[in-house]
Amino acid sequence: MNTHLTDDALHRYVDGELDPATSEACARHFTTCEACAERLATLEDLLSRVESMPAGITPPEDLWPGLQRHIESSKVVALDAPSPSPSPPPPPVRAVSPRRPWWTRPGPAVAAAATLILATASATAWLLTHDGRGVQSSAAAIYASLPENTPPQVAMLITDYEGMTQRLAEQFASKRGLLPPAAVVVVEENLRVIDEALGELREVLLNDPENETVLELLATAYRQKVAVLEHATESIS
Amino acid sequence: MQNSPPGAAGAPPPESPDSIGDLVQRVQHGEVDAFEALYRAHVDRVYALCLRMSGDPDQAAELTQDVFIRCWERVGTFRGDSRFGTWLHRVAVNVVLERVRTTQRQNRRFEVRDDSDTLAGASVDPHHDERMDLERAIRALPPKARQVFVLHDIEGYRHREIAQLTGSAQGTLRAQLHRARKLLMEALS
Repeated sequence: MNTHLTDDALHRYVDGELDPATSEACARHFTTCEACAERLATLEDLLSRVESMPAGITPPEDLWPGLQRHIESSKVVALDAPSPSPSPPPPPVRAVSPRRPWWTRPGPAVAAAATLILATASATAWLLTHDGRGVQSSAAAIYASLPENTPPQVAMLITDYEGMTQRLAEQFASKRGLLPPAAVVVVEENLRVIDEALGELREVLLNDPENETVLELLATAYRQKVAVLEHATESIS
Repeated sequence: MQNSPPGAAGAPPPESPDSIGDLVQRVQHGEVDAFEALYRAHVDRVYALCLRMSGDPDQAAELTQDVFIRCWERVGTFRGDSRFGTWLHRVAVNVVLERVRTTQRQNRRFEVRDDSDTLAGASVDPHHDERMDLERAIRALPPKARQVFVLHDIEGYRHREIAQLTGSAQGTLRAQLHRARKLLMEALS
């Protein structure tokens, strides 16, 4: 290696993202190139300082009073929590790494989760063709209906997105009368197309639950659905 | 502004599984005092994430409240198959990124640019506390670079996970991360 390391190579080296041979070549380079060695030291110093940053920062004022007022006035949790038994057993604690990418979890749990996506996506589409009354966020119901062995991050992703889209759909449904009918048609058509895509992705997942591309497309489709609903709602506001 | 005891950034607060599990069950039954205990145990960590991601103390306070409201609403979905702090952290990241998406859309309407090669208003006082310098420098990063830096270097997310959370390509995220580090090194040198 006769030239200086590129910035990209330097950062990848520090992050351990280079293959062993390239990493070793970089390490040798640092022993002979003072300029690159200095760049490495500066970057490592920054990351060392980041590592020693405090995990938490106390807010300048106590936020609890405002939070408490909101909770006392809404008391939403009683509606969302699953019906508890008088003495529910403590939930089993599985050693799950929070950092492991969720789409590396293959198997029927993913397919079952995809099935649920279709069902709840259809419910969202139904909501838009009706007046939206009586539909409440039911994240707990969605989560509770997932198979027990659903990977936590898959379940959370689905619950988050389904909860988000339901909430946005409720907002849109409550305001749709303020939009021109032609605009409502466009929004509903966009959502129909996205829901169809979600359904198709489910079909693929059932046959190939380890397909990373499909899982990422699923997440993309959800994000698109959120974007459509957010745009539609904001255009009314 | 006080800081929690120093430790590896990204590490959740220590928690006794039995005590937290008990508190969570009580919250799931609607006990507000139990929720306050959970709030007190985790608010510093949540606020730090919100502050570092948003770069704005006022917005961070709002986001922190939103996170705990979402936590209150969704606590029924926590089944104990991960640490509560980990679960809450994920809720916080989602809340912050939702707000970021909304803000970015609004900024696009007013053509706010995010391609600055310098930190906004960065004038680091060499005599100031070093930790505050770094915190302030991070807050002054351009928004996208700041988000990726916080999620990757402070919170420990991998590029693939950040890509899945934000919808951005991994190559783009790497470029933003490298840019953030470069800006910070320049500001702190």
